[in-house]
Amino acid sequence: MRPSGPARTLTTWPVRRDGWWWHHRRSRAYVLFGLGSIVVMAEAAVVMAGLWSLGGGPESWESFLVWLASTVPRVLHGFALVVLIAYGLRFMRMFPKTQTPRLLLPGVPERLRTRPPLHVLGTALHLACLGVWLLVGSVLAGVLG
Amino acid sequence: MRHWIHALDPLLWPLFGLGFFCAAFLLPPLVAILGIAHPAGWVAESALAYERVHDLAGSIAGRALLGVAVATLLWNGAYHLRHTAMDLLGQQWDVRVAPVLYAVAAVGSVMAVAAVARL
Repeated sequence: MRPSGPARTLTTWPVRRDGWWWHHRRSRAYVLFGLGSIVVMAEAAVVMAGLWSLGGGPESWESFLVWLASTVPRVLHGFALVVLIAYGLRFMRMFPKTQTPRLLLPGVPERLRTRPPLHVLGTALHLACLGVWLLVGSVLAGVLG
Repeated sequence: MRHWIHALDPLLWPLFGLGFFCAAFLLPPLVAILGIAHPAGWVAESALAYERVHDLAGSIAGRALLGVAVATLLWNGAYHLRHTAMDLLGQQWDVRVAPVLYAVAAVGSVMAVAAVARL
């Protein structure tokens, strides 16, 4: 029996994406992720300011710590921490999917040329991140080192 | 200008990716301890004493890690913000936005190298 006509091409239902980005959930998440890079650059500047003050001697370092303890930087750092955690979590959710499924490397066993399952890669990434957080946090807090 | 911005892309892509790792792995504990826990008094005063922090940051590993981290964070932010600006403002803004953001990242990277060199 022959089909009555060519098969329909499966497409998603058309969704209008016009209007302000804030009105669409996925657009909002995508743009907020992009705007999170402002916080990343700002915190990089804070770390750099800390390095310059550290190089300037003990008095300079102390004044940097005093500045960090003032109200405005504390509030901004609280906000920044929330943004950075969200930024990092979104990156780690996306990263496994961006890895190539199979590498064309001659002479390398097939097992090593194939990307691990996405959930394995994602879990490993999250565990590694948690480990680094604990390590860096412990060193900075004086628990280690 | 547009040609140069596109020609730079393959060089910036690895910095963008590495910056994501630094932002996800290193920045949250740094901000949590330096910006929140220490000012709140949850961390011993001696933990961020000048000698201790200088020894940690001034070691070869510390200098390399901090220099690379600050530079890649800046390039990550610049690259990501450039693309967000294109999404929000339109492609035609790229020739104005990209040079400014990349200049900030380049100057910041030089300053980061200088900062770790003088430790």
